[in-house]
Amino acid sequence: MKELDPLLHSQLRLAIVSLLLSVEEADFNFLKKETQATSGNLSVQLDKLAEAGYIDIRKEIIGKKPRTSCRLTDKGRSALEAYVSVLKECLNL
Amino acid sequence: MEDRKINESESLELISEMIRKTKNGPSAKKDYNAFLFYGYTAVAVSLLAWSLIRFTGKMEFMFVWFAMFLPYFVTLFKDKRKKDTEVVTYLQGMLDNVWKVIGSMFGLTVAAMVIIGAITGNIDFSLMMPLSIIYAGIGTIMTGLVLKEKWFELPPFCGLLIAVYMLMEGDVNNDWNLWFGLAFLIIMVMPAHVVRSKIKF
Repeated sequence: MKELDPLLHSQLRLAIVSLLLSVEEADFNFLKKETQATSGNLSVQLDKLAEAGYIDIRKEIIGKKPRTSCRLTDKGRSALEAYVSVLKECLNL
Repeated sequence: MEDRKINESESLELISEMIRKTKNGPSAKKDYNAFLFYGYTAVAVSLLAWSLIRFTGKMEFMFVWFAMFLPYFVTLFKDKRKKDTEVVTYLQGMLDNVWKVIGSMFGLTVAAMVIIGAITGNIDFSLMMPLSIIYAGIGTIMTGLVLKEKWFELPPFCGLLIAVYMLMEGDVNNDWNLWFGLAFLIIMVMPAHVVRSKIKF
């Protein structure tokens, strides 16, 4: 049996990737609100996902405010698909 | 939520919960203000153009229709300032592209009329009225199909009938202004109000 992707097998990172699966783009505040994570922790996990190439992070200044938006990459989408199929195997679904 | 390991069933539950959140949240909060903005502008401009021509007898007042470009520039400026939307769903992204195409068709038609008119020596924008109704109607119907919202699918067909009538009548006259305003009332204003009334903000 294949192993679950360790990068996705964490509560917060899995929540982030799952949220990004259904939307084209989401910003930091949306992810923070929906996951109820702290800003620091969310930033760290976003960086880990971006380093693995699972998400793209865009940072820009809108007006005078910085804005961080994220979107799932093809690699991230495939990783989540693979993760779900291993999950199904584990749970005999 | 923390960076902690979870078991398999918790994982599956978490994925479902997060997907459910994106389905019930951002996409349901669209306010359709753009429909009301363009719709009411069209109605106001149509009444203004009709009144000016009715009381002065000068068809040159048709130029007030260029005010229809105002909502475009206002929304462009507003979007630039208010680009702090928390989330863009695939549906929103697709609808944005639909209306970009419709908007481009407006611009290209005006440009084509200017160029062809300059060549033939007669620049005539009268066909812009029925064409605008057709473009806006198609955009609204496509929005309705994407959102599965019947109020954006059916009323625009009545508006399209007005455009067909104008094209068949052929000669532009002052009544076209009122027909145009009525068409936008049916295509954009009425459906947007009905759909907004169904949404809980």
